[in-house]
Amino acid sequence: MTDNDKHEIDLDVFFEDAMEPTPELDDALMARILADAGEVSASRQVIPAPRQQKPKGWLRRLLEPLGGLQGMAAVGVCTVLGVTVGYTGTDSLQSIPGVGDIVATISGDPLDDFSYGSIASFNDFLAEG
Amino acid sequence: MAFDAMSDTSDGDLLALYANGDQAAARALMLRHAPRVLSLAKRLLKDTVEAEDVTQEAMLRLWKVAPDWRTGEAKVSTWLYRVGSNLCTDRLRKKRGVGLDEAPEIEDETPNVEDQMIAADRGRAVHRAMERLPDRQRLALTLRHFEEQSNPEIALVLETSVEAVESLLSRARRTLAADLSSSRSALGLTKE
Repeated sequence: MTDNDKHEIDLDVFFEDAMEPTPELDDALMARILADAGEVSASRQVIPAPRQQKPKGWLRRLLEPLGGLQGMAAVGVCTVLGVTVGYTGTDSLQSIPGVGDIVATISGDPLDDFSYGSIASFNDFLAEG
Repeated sequence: MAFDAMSDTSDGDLLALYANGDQAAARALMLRHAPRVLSLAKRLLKDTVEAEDVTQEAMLRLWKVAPDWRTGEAKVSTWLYRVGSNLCTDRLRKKRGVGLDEAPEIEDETPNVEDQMIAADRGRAVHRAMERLPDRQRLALTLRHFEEQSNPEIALVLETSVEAVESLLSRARRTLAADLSSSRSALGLTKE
């Protein structure tokens, strides 16, 4: 038997004598612990659950990928305008305030006054042959 | 769920039930684990009132982590021993400076029979000797010999390796044995 073994045997006796039964919880401590448990549960329930969103209608679901109501309104206006111009030509747009000037500007050929001779480098290029 | 029906329910399931507002599950967990935390705290702190405060605090922390508890990652008992021992260590650090003479004695409830008196003396002697051990050695010994935890479980509580626990226990036993050996014959230990 080594010296350590002797200590082990001796210590086992000591530990055995020092053993005590597991203590029982007294009523006051149990009440405190359970009160804590109740409070923690209650504080958790106070946190509001996220509000459930109302289910969307079929029209809203249909329009959503196209940009929603706003997107569809813009598409509608453009369509009406396009059909109008298609049927009546740009003359009908003259009556719309502010649009008349724009139509007048773009209705003629913007290249009417253009001549290649007005470009200096092009003349040089022609002269060089 | 009725309290009686919970005796076979696992700790993880009880925590899940409690997290869903079942107070009977909290009661079952308390009856299952709080006495062991109290036992450890009493041994480490030598003060019933403080040990009860530590037990309440450890259980409160359990209530708070209940919704996030992941079954299988840790045993509730080991987790509670860890929290309890950390709380005790904090309190012991704050109390440092209190002399050994001021430490309260363990109550002697044994009958007045010679053998039992000697046994009680030995019990007190080991408690006194353990108080002189470094905190971690004392905690490891307490968990091993009084709370009957295995070395791997102690390693989880102390957040260290099993080898480190074995080393701690070995050093603690050597120190304790040396401390007690001087009074061995006086304490009725005749095995030499």
